[in-house]
Amino acid sequence: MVSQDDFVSAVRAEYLNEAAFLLDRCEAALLGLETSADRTSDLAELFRALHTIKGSGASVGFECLVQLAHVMEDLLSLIRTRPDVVTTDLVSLLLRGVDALNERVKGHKEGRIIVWDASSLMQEFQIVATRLSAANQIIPFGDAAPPKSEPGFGFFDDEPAAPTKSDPKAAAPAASEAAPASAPPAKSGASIKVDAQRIDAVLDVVGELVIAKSQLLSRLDESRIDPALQGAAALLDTIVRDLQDRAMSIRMTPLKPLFLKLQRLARDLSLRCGKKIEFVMAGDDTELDRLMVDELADPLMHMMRNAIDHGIEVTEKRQRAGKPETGIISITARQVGGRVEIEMRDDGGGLPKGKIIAKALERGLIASPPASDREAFNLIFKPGLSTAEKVSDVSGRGVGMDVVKTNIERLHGTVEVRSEEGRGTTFILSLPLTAAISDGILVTVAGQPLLVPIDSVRDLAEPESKLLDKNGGLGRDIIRLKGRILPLVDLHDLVARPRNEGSSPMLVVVESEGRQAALLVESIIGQMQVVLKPLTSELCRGRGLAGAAIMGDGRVALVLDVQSLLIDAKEAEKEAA
Amino acid sequence: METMQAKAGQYLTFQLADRPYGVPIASVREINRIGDIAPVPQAPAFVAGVMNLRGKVIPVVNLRNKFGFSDTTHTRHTCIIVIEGQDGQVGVIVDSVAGVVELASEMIEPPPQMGEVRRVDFVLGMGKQESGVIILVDAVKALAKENLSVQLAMHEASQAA
Repeated sequence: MVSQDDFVSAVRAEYLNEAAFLLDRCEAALLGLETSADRTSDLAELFRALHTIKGSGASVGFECLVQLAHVMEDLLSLIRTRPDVVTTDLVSLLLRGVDALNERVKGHKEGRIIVWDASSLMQEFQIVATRLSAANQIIPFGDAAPPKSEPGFGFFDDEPAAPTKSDPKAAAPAASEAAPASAPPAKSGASIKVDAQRIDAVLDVVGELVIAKSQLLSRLDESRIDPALQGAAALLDTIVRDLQDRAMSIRMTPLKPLFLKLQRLARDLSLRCGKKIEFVMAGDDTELDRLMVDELADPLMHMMRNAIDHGIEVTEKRQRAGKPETGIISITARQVGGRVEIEMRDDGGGLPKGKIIAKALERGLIASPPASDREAFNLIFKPGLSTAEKVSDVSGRGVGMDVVKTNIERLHGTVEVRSEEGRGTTFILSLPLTAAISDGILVTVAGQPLLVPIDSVRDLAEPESKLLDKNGGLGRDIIRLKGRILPLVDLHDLVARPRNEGSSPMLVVVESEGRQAALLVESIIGQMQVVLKPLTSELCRGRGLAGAAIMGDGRVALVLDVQSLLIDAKEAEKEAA
Repeated sequence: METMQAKAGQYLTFQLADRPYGVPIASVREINRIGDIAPVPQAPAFVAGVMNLRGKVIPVVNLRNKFGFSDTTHTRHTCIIVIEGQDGQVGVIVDSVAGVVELASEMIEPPPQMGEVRRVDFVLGMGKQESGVIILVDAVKALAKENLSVQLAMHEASQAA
């Protein structure tokens, strides 16, 4: 039996989920108002969503939400058939309303008690609504009166009212349409909402199944047994692989919500910086693991801030350079093989190469000017380098791009920058479809299996000379390999076990942040795909380790964190010098 | 102040260096035979490594080492008790698992007072049985704390028992 209280809280929780979903649609519609030609449908969508938030909110007792939604709806009812009176300021105001509702919904969802006073915001809505209806004598819900053009009324001062040409054909259906009880489904094809935790639980069990299957199969390989059993095992293998693929695909979500967030940010920042910016997105239906999408938000938002603050020039400068006044920032996603590429491009001034190099030299980040453009541009990913002439509140205190790079690399992704002075800058992120599965080179060190992430491996080699130039008279370990001298990191030191003198060791050449080193291992087993597991417990968090992976035979292999290994090696080098 | 007194209820008892210990059964997730444990570089000495618990990678702790007893070779009785802690699950290697005892509150005595109280805040109490006294511990607390006096405290507790 469900108690009355349980029932009420379930209904309220359902309402909050629905409201959050509708508010996202509101935001998208508001952003659409500014860019799309067909404003009427965006206005209608907005009106419907707010109406639902208001209507259902009243029935489950969220009075505060209802009141704000009500004044917003009042204002919308004045303009829904009048796309011509929509101005930037009006959209800003409505966006603030949506933000306030969102904040409140989030607070309720998380069970937080927040101070939330929308009375001043509500007043603003009422003032604007009063002015609008006074200035225009728009009859709410009316459509017959041809709208007059209105020269300058106080509130919307920065954008002259567009010459009125309301299309009665477009407006009429929207006006007569009664707001339905819920928003229409976004896509054809039935869908259900499932709690993310449940999906993760299913994926965990599938992960266990995959491992159990691998264990079973490896036993079967060893004992040559009856072919019928082998056949059944092969079938099981196929089915489990299929199940794994499908299970992973449940967690895949399109990038669109993230791109919309970026669009909103671009809009708000362009107003704040006083730069005209057009935001273009493509490939927003490209899908990525939900966990990855969450992790990508911060780096992409940061890159967007940079592009607007530093990338796109102020209007006068663009005019002088003979460029169109409006800067373009585009974000494009596409799947390339097993990876997703996200490209963020601006048509701004480009990276100031000379300034970057000068700054890097001054800060001691490099000893001599880099040879190629690529190396020069990559300097922006170094900690402590910000080339902005003035520190602004939008971006630029020298923390940023290095954090972006770290975040992307944590997802086993890469980030690349291209730039042309005066033409703009392009960042290309390349990411695996999921952070959960990863490829690596399996090695052993003193009998213990270790996994080197494949994206950092450059070469596998046998030491050329028998003499491993350990401690090569310079206070550090180096090795000569194919005519080059590389720092040597003996992984036996990491696991604190002696090297088996009888065996012939192998080298894995790895690279991180443009630095290469050779890892000395006992043997190289081969490449394998593993499910990455984090090492969360304080008890087993060691430097040089990125996590753990479970191998086919059920044993655990630790995954190396190449970046921290190389940093440690460099520090040891410095100390020795 | 938080009372860390042992409560009446069921305790899983195990042997460590020939002494009986008990952990609240509610904190025990399962008991496993000892399997493959991958050592973790640079981890504290009492951490034996990590193990695969049906797809999850969890740390395994050598309780002998942590409590200051000498290491011993694993026997067929050696077990891993998987304990549910605040920071996730932790495997604890013990010499053997004895069984489950039900302790009424009058059978539980507060932990022995030994100088500083803080030192033994993971000893929940002493469970009196006809066969002897069981030291009731909060294993997670004993492991999570950077408590340097664990070894000493355990010796004193076992003396008192």
